[in-house]
Order: sequence, then C-alpha cells, then structure tokens
Amino acid sequence: MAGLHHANIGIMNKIAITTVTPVYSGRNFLPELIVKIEQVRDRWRNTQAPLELIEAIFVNDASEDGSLPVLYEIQKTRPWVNVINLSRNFGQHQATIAGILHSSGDWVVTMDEDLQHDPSHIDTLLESAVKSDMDIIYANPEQSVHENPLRDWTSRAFKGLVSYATGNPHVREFNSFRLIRGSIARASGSVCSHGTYFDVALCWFSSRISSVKLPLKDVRFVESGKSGYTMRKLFSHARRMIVSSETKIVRFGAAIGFFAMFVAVVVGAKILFNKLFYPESIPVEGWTSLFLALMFFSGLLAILSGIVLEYISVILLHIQGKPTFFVVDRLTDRFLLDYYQDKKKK
Amino acid sequence: MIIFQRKDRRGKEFKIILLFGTGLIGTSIYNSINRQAVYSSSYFPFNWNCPEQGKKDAAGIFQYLTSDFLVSCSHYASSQIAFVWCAGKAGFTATKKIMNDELISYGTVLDLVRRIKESFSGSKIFIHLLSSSGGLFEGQRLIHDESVPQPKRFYGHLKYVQEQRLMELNDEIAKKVYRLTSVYGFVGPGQRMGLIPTLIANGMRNKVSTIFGSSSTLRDYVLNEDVGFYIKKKLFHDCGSGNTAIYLLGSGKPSSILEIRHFVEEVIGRKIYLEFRKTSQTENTLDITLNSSALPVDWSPTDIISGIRLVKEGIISGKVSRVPGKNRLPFVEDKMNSTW
Repeated sequence: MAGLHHANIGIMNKIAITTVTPVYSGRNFLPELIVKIEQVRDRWRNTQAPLELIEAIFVNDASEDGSLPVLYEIQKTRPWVNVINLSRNFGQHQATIAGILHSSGDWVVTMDEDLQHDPSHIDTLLESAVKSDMDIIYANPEQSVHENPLRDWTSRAFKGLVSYATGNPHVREFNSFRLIRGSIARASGSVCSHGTYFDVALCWFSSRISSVKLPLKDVRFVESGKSGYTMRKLFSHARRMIVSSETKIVRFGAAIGFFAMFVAVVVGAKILFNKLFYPESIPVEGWTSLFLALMFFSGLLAILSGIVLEYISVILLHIQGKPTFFVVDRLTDRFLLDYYQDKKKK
Repeated sequence: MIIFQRKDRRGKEFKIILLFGTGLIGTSIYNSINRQAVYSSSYFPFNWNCPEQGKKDAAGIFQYLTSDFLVSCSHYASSQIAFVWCAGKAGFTATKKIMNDELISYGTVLDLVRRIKESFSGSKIFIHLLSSSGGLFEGQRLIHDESVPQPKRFYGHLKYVQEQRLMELNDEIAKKVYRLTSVYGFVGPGQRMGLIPTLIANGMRNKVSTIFGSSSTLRDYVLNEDVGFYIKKKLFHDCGSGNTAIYLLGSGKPSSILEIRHFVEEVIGRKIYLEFRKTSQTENTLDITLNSSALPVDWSPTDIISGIRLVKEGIISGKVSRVPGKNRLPFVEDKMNSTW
C-alpha cells in the first residue's frame, strides 16, 4: 500500500467504510448484529487490510420495541458506533437516507437490522465492485429468501412489473443490502425528497450498477411468518418508484395513440377514395366515418396527453433533483483491486 | 479589539474580557456578550498588519488595564481576566508570510498575557483560543479527541503553533482551545462569510459561485452564532473547570457541497449556479468531518437547514452587526465575495 497517495486517504492510508442500518424493531437482533460488524472491523485491522470500518451508523426510526436503549448501550463501549434518533417514524428509506447523509466513508454499506444481511459479505460486495468497476452493488438472494415460494414469487413478479412500467432494468436488482460509492450515496441522499425512491435516485447518478448472489435469509419472516412488507407498503413502494422514474408507460400510451391516428388516416383515405370513386361499395353510410373520426381524435388526445405527461415528468424529475451531471473519483479502486488480487493469490 | 468589563459595587465580582478580532466569530462573541447588558465595552486599536504598531497598541492596552482603579478591583472576591483570540487575516490559502505576521501579533498578545498575570496576581487569568479543526486535521475523517493534528498547509501550521505556544504558558493560566470546523454566518458585508452565505448571496442575485473543491467534498458546517453563544457561556460560567481544555465544535454531521447547494436552493427558491475550479494553490477538496461523540455535552448546534434560513434572513434584512471601531459599509454588491 505504499503507493497510496489519493487525496482523501492520504492520512488514514485506508479506504473508509461506513455501515448504515435503519432500526425499527430490532432490539432482539442488534447485539448480534453489532458483534458481526465488529468482527469484520477487527478482521480488517488484524490482517492489515487497506480497509477501515470507520463508523457503524444506526438510525432509530422511532422504534417502539426498546431498540434505542440497546443502541445507546452498544455505543457506550464502541466510539465508532453513531446513533441517530429520528423525531418520528419516517420509514426505512428515509431512515437509510438520514444515515447516509451522516456518513463519511468512501463506501457506504446499507443493511437491515434483522440479520438478514450478514456483514461478513461486505468483502464480497467490495470485491465485486472494484473487479467489475461498479459504483453500486446490490446483494441478491441465491436461493429462497422467505422459504415460501408464493412470497418469493410475488416479490419477483412485483419487481418485474415495476421494472417494465418504469423502463428501469435495475429495479429487479434493488435490495436493501447494498454497497454504494460514498460520494454517490450522499449525492443521491441529498436530492431525495419524501416522495423519491432512493434506489431510483441512485440510478440518476450512476449506471454502473450490478448485483452479486449471496445467501440471504429473512430470518424474521421464516421464524414468525411476519414480513415488514405489507401489501399496502408494496403499493406505496411501487407508487414512489413510478413517480421517481421516467415512466415508460406514458410513452407506450402515446405510441398507441400515434398508431390509432395513423390507422384512422390511412383507413379514412381509403374510405374517402371509395366514397368518391366506388360509392356503391359502402352499404351503410355514416358509421365508418364516425368511427374513424373517433379513432383519429382519440389518438390525437393520447399523443397530446403523452406530451403533457412527458413535460410533467421532466419538471418532476427536475424538482426531485435529477442531476445534469455528476463527477466521480474512482482512483482508489485500484488499491482495493490489488488487495483482493493479492489475497486470492495467497 | 474590544475590552469588556464588569465590576459590581458590592466588591464581589470583577471581570475583564479582552476580545481580539471582530470578524465573523469575533462579532458573534461580541453580540453574545452584549446581550448580557451588564458589561461595559471599549474599543482599543490593535494592529496586526504592522508588528511594531501592534506592540505599541499592546502597550496602550496594558497601560489601561493597569490603571490604579482596575488593579484595586483585582482584589475582589472573584476576579477574572479572560483573553479571547479569534483574530487574524489568515485563511486556508494563507502564505508563509501571512502566517509569520500573524504569529508575531499572537506572540505580542501572549506577552501581554504574561505581563497582566504579573500585575494581577490575585486574578484568575484565562485564554480562549479559537483554533481550526480544518487546518489541523485536513483530510481526516471522523476527527475525535485523540486525533493527531497533521496540518497540510501554512494555515494549519499556524493554528498548530498557536496551540503549542499557548500550552507553553504558565500553568496557572487557564487555557481553553476551540477547534472549529467550517464556520458560516453573516455579520455584514465585507466580512469572511464561508460557503453557505456566499451561495445564498450569489443565488439571490443569479450570480455564479466559484468553488475550489468538488461537489462531493465533505465538511462539517457550524453556525457562527452557535460558536459565539458557546464561548460566551464558557467565559461566564466555566470559570472553575480545569486549567486546560480542548473543545471540538462542529455539527457532527458531514455535508457535501451538493447537499448544501440543494438545501440553499430549497431555502431561497432559486437555482444556484456553480463553477468548480481546481488549481494547486487553492485546491480545497479534502474531506474534514467530525465524530459526533467527540462534541462537548453542553454544545447544541443549530441544524443546517435552520442555519441556512437564519443566514438568508440576515442577508435579506441587511442586518449588520455594529462592533465598536468598525465602520462597516452598507450592503454593496461588489463587496460580496463570490468564491469559496
């Protein structure tokens, strides 16, 4: 690591990692989670890795199960743990954003409180990011997460549907266990308003998004049958995802309108031709022209509505903070890449 | 510089505060002390551009303080003299010459402290030094109590040497050091303002702001009024605590320039035009963030959005803090700094 000379790692000589965990009902999981995070931190320190877990941020999203005292207890003996207490329950995404906006790391890892995401996999995420030159890596389950085929299928189908509606191919990869380049995480977090879907905002800043398969398990769902995601929450997610995205469905509607107009014009020209030169070929008068007029103006309305919606979409994305450009520094990646390659050789 | 004094007629309490520097932070301290309305204040010139003149000014201050009346007051039951150093023209881009000039002025004040200590043997002497976390720890993240200063530029070295010289003083002198992060605020035109007021002022006039950093540079922003209030609190109520203390004053929440831009746009309701420039002399891209657990327990910083709103109100209303000896210009557009 003698070659480290990049601006922000000049003093620490390490690449800084921050974990962000929103907490709502994690009292029973937090002690074990912090031990696992600490193991990763200690392992990096003991093996002289060029990585330092500089902070573990826990965002208490107005939990009602007594998670906050547990967090404060954890913080007492670990100065690198930072507890942020939200004034009311804002939801998982907002809590994650709050944590990200308090972070200082070169890379930010977001993970759930319920041990669904094992901190020991952070290395896998990092390795994948630097090897494939990515900015964002999502963890995706390599097998059934809920041990319930219907629940897993619903989740996949929902993501597929939203992916199609929004035209965003990354929606299928979205997961709350993610590794994000620090500057991109904070930039995305800072432009998010209450209605913005955080992962969609991430796509505004980078298209270098990938996923790795990991053994993820929703322990809470498997043990209790209860999921943090109710049907209402799923619809709310879909709504925010669509509102935050350029909606492909609008263009699809406008294209149908254009097609209807085109058909109306072509068929109308043929009918007019028949009317002028072969009037006997029209047995019932009036019905066809009425239908064609209806088709033409419906198509025109669909196109105009599509244009108006496209305008609104542009304005909405502008208000939501979609950037014109964003500058990113990937220079430090090669040190991590060297580290992982050396590690593999050993 | 300003001298505040308070002596009650019952012969119980006697306190003098010497405030060196009436810039962004000095003015905030001045305002905070003035709100108490029990201190009388007088302006004394102290020149830090010309070392010789500075020494003469210091001699004048010494002569005033050692008048028979004041020396007699030093035998009151509670007698304190506090020096506050928040002076200097050196900023992040200061040259070696500016650093040396400022050290000479600082040395003159420390000499004054020593002489005062000899003349007021019955009084408790305090020095409050305004230092800089940014200068001392540039490039370090999550700075805490045990972080080791590693200055990277003359400004950082200046602060480091100032702290060291302070610690070399007599043990009987109480030393309080405040390591500040990026301070922002508005006390009137012609003063150093920091990033946020510059963005607000330029944004309101649709003017481009030049940033010598990158949009993802992380800093910890703190409102000048919070600093002024905290130091006033220490000046008035922390007289009995240990002889040496170092306070890290920041918000504990890092913010990128992009985030600040977004907040400012939200508050002023206009677009902010930015131009990013990188030159070796002015480059200012290193992150500087504070560990929230290292902040003093009695310190409560204003959140960034409320701070931005306060600064905006100050700029719009043209609020100018009147400090004795300072003739501030009315709000003149060309005097506003458009760079950070």
